[in-house]
Amino acid sequence: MRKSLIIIMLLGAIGCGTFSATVSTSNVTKPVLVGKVTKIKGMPQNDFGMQSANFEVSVEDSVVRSVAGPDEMAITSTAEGANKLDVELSDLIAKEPKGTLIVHDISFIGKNTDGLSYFLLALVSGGRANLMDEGVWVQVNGGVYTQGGNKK
Amino acid sequence: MKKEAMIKPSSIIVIWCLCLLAGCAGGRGKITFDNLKYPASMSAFIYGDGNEMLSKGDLRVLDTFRYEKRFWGIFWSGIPLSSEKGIAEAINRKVEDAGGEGVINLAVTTSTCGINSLPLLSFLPVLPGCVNVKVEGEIVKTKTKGSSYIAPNHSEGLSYINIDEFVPKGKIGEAIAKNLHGEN
Repeated sequence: MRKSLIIIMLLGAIGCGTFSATVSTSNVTKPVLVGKVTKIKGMPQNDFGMQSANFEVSVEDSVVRSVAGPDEMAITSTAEGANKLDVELSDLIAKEPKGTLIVHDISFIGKNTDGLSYFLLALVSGGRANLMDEGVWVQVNGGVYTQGGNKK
Repeated sequence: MKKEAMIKPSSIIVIWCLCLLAGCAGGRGKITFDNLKYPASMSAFIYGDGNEMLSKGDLRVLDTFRYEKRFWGIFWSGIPLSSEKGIAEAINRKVEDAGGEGVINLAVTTSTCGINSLPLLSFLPVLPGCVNVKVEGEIVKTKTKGSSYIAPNHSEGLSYINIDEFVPKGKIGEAIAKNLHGEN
């Protein structure tokens, strides 16, 4: 019984990694605003004009574990993920050069896999389970607004 | 005769299903920055009071800030326990203290907490998990006209100092003194 408990606890320790993801837009050549104040010495506002486009970009640093594979398999590295936001916003700027980019919110989840769950799922799937992953996921949601459109 | 305890196969299946459905300890949250009193941009650009686009060259970086907060959750990160309250207020305070007008290069970094990795215990839905969030940025102010540089002036000597004239390095103290005493 004691041996079983030790094995289970050791299995539970699988996945004790540190994951970190950063969202920034250092390569975007236009303001990417957060909050409700759009300019220096400006006042908070609830209406930014007409929304002409929206964006939703996820950045993650996570790993998928497979019993069949010898090593962990990274889904998306932080460096790749961080570039996604720059690329998507740069594309939007090219399509809407006069629009104002505003981030509505930044959502995030951070969690670790429990070794026991992973182990059991791996047993059931015959070692092919790729459903248990762990890490951090960050999602940036926002829109492109144009002044002078139909205001709400 | 000792009666052996028998676990019914159906119970084993139920327990196994419960184990499979169990998730992972963690935390979740959302930041909106709605209470910010100053403009903040995730890029190196920001809009001036005349709606002109200002780059880092048009701004003075007064200070940097870093704010960290831990977001908790239970039921395997499904139920958030923390709010974003405090983040915007902390940034407002830092900008006011620095005498800034806005923030550029704002970045948000999230990372996992060690408590999420507790062996076996992280299997329990009521065990709180968390995610660390760090918000960083540069506090900036617009450069006032002429305040950031002194243009060269090739006239000989120094009869007066104004912000557009060149002052040789060794003559700065003298020039300031002359300016202060109105010797033009």
